[in-house]
Amino acid sequence: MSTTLQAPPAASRPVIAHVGVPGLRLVRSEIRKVTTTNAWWLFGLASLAFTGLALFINMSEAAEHIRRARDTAAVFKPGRGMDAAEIAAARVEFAQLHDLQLQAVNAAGNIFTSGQFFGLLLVMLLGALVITNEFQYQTATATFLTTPQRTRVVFGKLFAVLGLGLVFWLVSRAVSFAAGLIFFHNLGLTNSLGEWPVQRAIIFNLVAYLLWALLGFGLGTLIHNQIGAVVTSMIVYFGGLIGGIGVFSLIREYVIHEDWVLTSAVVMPPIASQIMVSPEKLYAEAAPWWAGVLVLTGWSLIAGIIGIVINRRRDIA
Amino acid sequence: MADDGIAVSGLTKVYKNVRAVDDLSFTVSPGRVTGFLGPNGAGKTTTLRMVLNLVRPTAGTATIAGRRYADLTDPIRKVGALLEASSAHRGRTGRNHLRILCDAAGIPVGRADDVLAAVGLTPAAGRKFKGYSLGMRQRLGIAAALLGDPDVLILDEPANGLDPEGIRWMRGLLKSLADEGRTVLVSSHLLSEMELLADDVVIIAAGRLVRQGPVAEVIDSAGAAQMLVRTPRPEALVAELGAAVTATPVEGGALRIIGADGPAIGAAAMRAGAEIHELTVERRDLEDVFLQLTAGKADIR
Ligand SMILES: Nc1ncnc2c1ncn2[C@@H]1O[C@H](COP(=O)(O)OP(=O)(O)OP(=O)(O)O)[C@@H](O)[C@H]1O
Ligand SMILES: [Mg+2]
Repeated sequence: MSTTLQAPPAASRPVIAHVGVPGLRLVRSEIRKVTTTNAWWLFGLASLAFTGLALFINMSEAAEHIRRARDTAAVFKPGRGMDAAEIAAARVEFAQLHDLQLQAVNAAGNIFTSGQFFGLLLVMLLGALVITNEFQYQTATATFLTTPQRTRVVFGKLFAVLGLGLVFWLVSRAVSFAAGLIFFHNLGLTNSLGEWPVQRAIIFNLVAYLLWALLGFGLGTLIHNQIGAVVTSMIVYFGGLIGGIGVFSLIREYVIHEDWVLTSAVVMPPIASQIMVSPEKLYAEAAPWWAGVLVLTGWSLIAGIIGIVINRRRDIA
Repeated sequence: MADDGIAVSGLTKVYKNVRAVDDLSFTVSPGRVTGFLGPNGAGKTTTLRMVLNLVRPTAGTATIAGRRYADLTDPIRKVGALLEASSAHRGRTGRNHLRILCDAAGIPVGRADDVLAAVGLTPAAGRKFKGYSLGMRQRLGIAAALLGDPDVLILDEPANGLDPEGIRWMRGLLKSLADEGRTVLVSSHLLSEMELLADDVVIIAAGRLVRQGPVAEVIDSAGAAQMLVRTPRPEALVAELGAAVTATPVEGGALRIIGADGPAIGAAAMRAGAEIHELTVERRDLEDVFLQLTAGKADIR
């Protein structure tokens, strides 16, 4: 370094203004932490890529379903050896598959929420990183020197994480809106955006983005080790669905032969999430949608509160 | 304490198998540079982290201007701190690192560029932290400490990694900050630098206070002056001086004697029949006194 250094002249203390709204300063600081590293655009790109991929799959599938529904030449033929009840069920299914309006609404629900599966995982991981980064990169010292009230720091991060969840949802939805509107226009169909099932799917898609971001944040608060928090998040996300269904079915089968066992599978976060976003019951014994909201919020709160309590006493070294 | 002094009282930190800081009490006055000295593992960093509410004391208290750090309103406008194991995100620029702190403290973000200029880091302000050299990282830490133009500075080995020019700059900076009436507490292993810089010293070893006071007083208090003796019969002289005196050979065949003054050595030499070829008073420096005071307590725990 060739710059010549000089001690500042004595007794010329700068006047440093107080700027910002006290509560919002921390949120602003946290948002700047996210936007000044590569994480946000890497995650953003990943989110866009998954949304694009999901759009492609959902639109191909929807095109196929709509083509079938428009095929007026098809007539219902009962299968050989069916009894009366089976024939009735098959007739209902045939009618649904050839109900153009119903197929258009289903297609709209899928297309306008495209990219949800990986989008939720990404906001969850981002939520975990917002807090574990401080320990991974030893910035916790500077952060807690500036704001020694550690719980306030956690709340500043909380609002930043919810904001991030909202932004990821908005971007993902903007892309799928554009693609969806073109898709339905080309097919000469209504986009079904006026239909409640479609509106519901989009609203609960937002709720899911916020709640998964919150859950990731809760896990990050609890588990400060970055790899630990990320691995735990992945296990909860992927393992919870498959493992959850398996374990609860086995309990129902061999231990407690009651239907409430299957209903209580909602305690697994991914199942809670699926139950929440599905317009119809996910399975016959599934809990109501609001139980899904409560479960996701509950897990986030439990992890977050334990994390905050530990964090208040933890040595930062 | 109503002024901007630091008061540490009965501070103790016990980790699983080590008493890192052990019933430590001392005070730091405003308007002076106070050197915080101790061998590796003495507990300096742990003490400073407890003062700054980053590590939870097992017992005791630490206050700045009469208040605990966590109770200060706008702490970084009151206290600027640089600690080891304090860092920035690898992928973030130095300027953005400081702006984040500005945001959180309600300081205008333009202040980041002011302090970057003050530490000579302007050319690297837009570069990522991972590309910074050790000294540049240290300068960024000092910049962060200056952000709020604080009344109290607490610096843990700030000279670490600084080039000679940087060290001289730091000396001037800390002296001028103290001259403005601010409190400056700085830990260091560079004892000759500390002798130039510090007004007071606090010396600790094995977590306990060894000595505190103005540099000159601490040097004088460490006992009689140190004498250099040259004689053809050193063994006889040492035997005559007795066990209360430490004698260490130095190069050139002379002996360094601590614990006996000129007349005592002269008398002993005469009794022992040891001819004296040279007898000089060695001015003691902080390093000698430090090594003497911490002798036997400096083992890594
Ligand atoms: N988080 C910790 N867990 C366990 N022991 C610790 C921890 N932090 C410090 N110690 C121990 O406490 C003692 C004091 O350490 P500290 O870092 O305060 O010393 P120091 O005076 O700053 O040393 P140095 O001059 O090497 O920086 C050491 O024995 C160290 O091993
Ligand atoms: Mg240290």
